[in-house]
Amino acid sequence: MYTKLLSPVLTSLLSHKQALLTSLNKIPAASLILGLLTIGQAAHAFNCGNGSSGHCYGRARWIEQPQYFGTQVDISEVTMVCANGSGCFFIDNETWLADFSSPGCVNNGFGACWVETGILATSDKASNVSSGRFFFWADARPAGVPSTFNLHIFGYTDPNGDTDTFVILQDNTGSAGVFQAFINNYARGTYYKGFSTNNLMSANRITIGQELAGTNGANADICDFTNNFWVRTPLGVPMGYDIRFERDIGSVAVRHDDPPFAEWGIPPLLPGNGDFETQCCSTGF
Amino acid sequence: MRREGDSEMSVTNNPVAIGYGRILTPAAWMLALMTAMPASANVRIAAPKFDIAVLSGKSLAVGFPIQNLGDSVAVNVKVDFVRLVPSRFGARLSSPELPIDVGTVPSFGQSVIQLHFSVPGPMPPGNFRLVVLGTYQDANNRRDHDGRDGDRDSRDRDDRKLFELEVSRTPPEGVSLLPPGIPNRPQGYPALPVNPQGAPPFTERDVINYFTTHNLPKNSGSLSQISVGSLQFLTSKDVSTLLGGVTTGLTDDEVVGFVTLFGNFIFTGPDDTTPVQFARAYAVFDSITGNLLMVGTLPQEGAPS
Repeated sequence: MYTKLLSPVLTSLLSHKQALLTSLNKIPAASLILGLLTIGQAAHAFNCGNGSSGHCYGRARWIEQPQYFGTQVDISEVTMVCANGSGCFFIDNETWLADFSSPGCVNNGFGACWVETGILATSDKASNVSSGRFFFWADARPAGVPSTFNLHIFGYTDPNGDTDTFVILQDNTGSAGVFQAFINNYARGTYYKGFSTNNLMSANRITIGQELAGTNGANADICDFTNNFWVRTPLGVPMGYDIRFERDIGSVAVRHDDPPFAEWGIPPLLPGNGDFETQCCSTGF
Repeated sequence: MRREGDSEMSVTNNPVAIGYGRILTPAAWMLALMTAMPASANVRIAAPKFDIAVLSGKSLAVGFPIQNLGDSVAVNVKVDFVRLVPSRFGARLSSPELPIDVGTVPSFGQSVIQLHFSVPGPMPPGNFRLVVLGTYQDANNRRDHDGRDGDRDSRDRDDRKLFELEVSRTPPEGVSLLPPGIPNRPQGYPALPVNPQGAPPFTERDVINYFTTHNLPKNSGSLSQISVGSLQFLTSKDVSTLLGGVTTGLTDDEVVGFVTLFGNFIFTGPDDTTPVQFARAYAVFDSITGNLLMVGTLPQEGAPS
């Protein structure tokens, strides 16, 4: 499941989980049950937005710091389907860096500015080509710019089993209001980068997790969010590497609308540690 | 990038056996270290990393795990001394929480320590080491207490072993904020057929056909309401200018198909944001591949931008 080194404790716990899944798959009856569950997931109905109503989330978030200059998270590649013509708008696993307090952001219609990046599956027919899911990044900028919301498609994702690193970083090396969003996976040669510009937000929230929009036809295997960090200083001044104090996160910081199902599979007892998991759509963990 | 088998942080673990009082002065610690004996191999105390959270300008929270990598249970684990190196705050940070009774740390288990310190000023950027001194007892090698001689305290002291941990705060290799190399060109995903005969690579009719069956990604508005306003072939730089600095990810002189759309476009963001409806939107197609590269919202016609 992981190609990167995790802490010994985390690795141990993950290996136990993997061993359990492996042993289950060796049992024909268990495999059959798992298969039936998978089929059932695709047909499960949910109420996660028809355009005017809100979407559903399974997420953890951080709001402890007055300002976050960036965020990093590793997200595992798993099967994620948003069946065409099924009532699914999209499903994704991603991270957001957002500002809910600056006047220009509060007044941009959304009530916030943000930069987001992650893995997206939509009901668009094109997304059924190849892997069916793709890397993206997007931003919502303060009021007054010609295009408030912009979504960029980097390309198709890496295969299941890989883990990609997603970073959003405030860039103070040049003009004000610039954020970098990039995705990398050295082993695959994956490296995409985008620049959010004229985005004078002062981020005060980091969110990781799954967003689901639609009423039917979505399915996503268990996705792991690991190596969670926040950035203390922007690019352009001496780099700081204050790691998120995940231990400060209480249960109130986790939202799971069931679906998406979400939980700390491994509690974030150590900074940068922990394994936040999301899953959709018919059964929980 | 972190590699399999690499260590997250540098760790120095020097367990020693020593007679021990409740709290030792730095001089006593030095003497203890100089006269130390090898420790039991059954308990191995480690601390792979630590972190500092600046709670306010003069308040720090330092967190680190005390791990037992041995095959025996560590009992009566105590942390007595913590120092940041280099320190601009003096030789020893004083915390009201020191000394800390960690208690029992099971074999291959850990206990997380969090200390709070008041300091004269904000933490400077850079790397630090954390020096942690404490003691523990090995549950397997602990002497039996029969209660006959009433000297249990002295025997406990004799059983105590000292550990000294030196933990680096160098950013873990997994924190690769700026990967080297040149980013890949955005690929988008397949959308329009490209005319093999040359310009134009695709027509407005191609775009209209596309949007009869394809919605914008992440748009919760209805596909049936989408209509195509126009198609222009512009340079990446021109598109960026039109959109208030939005970058396409292509070089300035690369040509893209810029499409304006009418309809009901609904986008939202992280939870706690409000879904917003837009009457106009845009889409950008790669003129070489016909792939959809990006989409976004536009203000109402006539509205100030």
